[in-house]
Amino acid sequence: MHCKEAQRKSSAYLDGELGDEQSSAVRGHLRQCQTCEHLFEEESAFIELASSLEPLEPTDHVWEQISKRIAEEEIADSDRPSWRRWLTDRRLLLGGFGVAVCATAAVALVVSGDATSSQTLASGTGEDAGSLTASASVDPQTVAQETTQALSDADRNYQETIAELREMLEEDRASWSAEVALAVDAKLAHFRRSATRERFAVGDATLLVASRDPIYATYREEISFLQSALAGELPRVGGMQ
Amino acid sequence: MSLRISEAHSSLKALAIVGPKSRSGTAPIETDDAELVEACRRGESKAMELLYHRYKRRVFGLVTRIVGPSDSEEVVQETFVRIFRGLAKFRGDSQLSTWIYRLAVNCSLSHVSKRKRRPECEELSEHEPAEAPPSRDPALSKRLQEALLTLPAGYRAVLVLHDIEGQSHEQCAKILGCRIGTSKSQLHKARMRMREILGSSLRAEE
Repeated sequence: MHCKEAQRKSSAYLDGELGDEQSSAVRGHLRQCQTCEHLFEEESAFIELASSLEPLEPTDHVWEQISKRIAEEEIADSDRPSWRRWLTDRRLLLGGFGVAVCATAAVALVVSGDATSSQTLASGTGEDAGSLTASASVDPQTVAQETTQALSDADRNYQETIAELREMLEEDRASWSAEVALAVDAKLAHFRRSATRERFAVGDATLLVASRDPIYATYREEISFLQSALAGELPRVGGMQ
Repeated sequence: MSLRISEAHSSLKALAIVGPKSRSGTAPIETDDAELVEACRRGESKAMELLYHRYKRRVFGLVTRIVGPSDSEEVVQETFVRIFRGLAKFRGDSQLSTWIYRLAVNCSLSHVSKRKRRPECEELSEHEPAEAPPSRDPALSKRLQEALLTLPAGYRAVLVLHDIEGQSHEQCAKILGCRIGTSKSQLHKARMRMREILGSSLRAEE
């Protein structure tokens, strides 16, 4: 056995994880190599020192502070609107709820300022959108304003749903491993970048409703991801960083 | 492990609220973790206090050695608040202690990560909470704690869990969410770094 191999196995040897033959080979090397013997002695002394440290005791006021914070959080719970408590209790349904809101509120919005520019809002959201079915007799400028408003409402509804889900997911963060947290953050950053890129590509002023479909698809994909994560289906990761 | 509830601080009475009654009429004093978790979920304040006292040393030791003494109590508070707020999500797939350790490690690593983004807070505070006297050379133990804080956070976590808290590699892997082999290799690297830092003073200690 050479020094490099012996040193690579030092922790396993000192923790008793090597088989008899390998342990014997390590001991044989240490009998012949003073450098390695010293390194093993240092590591052994470190392990002994680490295991002999006395337990630490928090000061008395820590429990008081914890009780106080829990009381504050429970008061905050009681101050939340009842619909939000209802949603939080049914947290696994919230993602579905968000999608359902988007889907049921989707309207076929015909923008017909002139006969050649009609468009369909296939994936909009918001209560106002349903009242926006326009006929050819409606003033084109009014329709354009209402369409802009409907698009803005749809964006806002999607974003509010996503923000709500993200907030709920944050409460779970402490129970994840560092790797999972990194994977979730990377995924959320990806959704944010995609949505930003797509919004930029479409522009705010456009009334071409179908052109916003990629944005809504990204929103729905993120809602679906957040829903799965809240249900415990977190990204799979390999080992610790 | 049991605890005398009489240790409770009278000042807490102001914070205590009426909670659902346990089946026995009082919070369990000698009870296993599963019963304690159920009582905590029902909002029984005495059960929560009992759970805190049952795990406070383990959590405080772990947190202090990962984040350093200056911020440890703040992180312990955060950890226990998350424990009590998150008990509803504890499904008993793992041991309660493993779940609690995992929350403590994640709160600690998250705190270290945030602190890195605030360099003005990087330096250790002058005031440190009282620490029990180490059983061996106090100066060397202090150096060990200082050396620990120079390790990358991942190395620090596995070294504290295995060498100081006495967790097995299997437990470390569950707590850290990694493979057992990863836990072993990280520990070996962490020990090498500690040996480099503490050097010959370790042999002098023998």
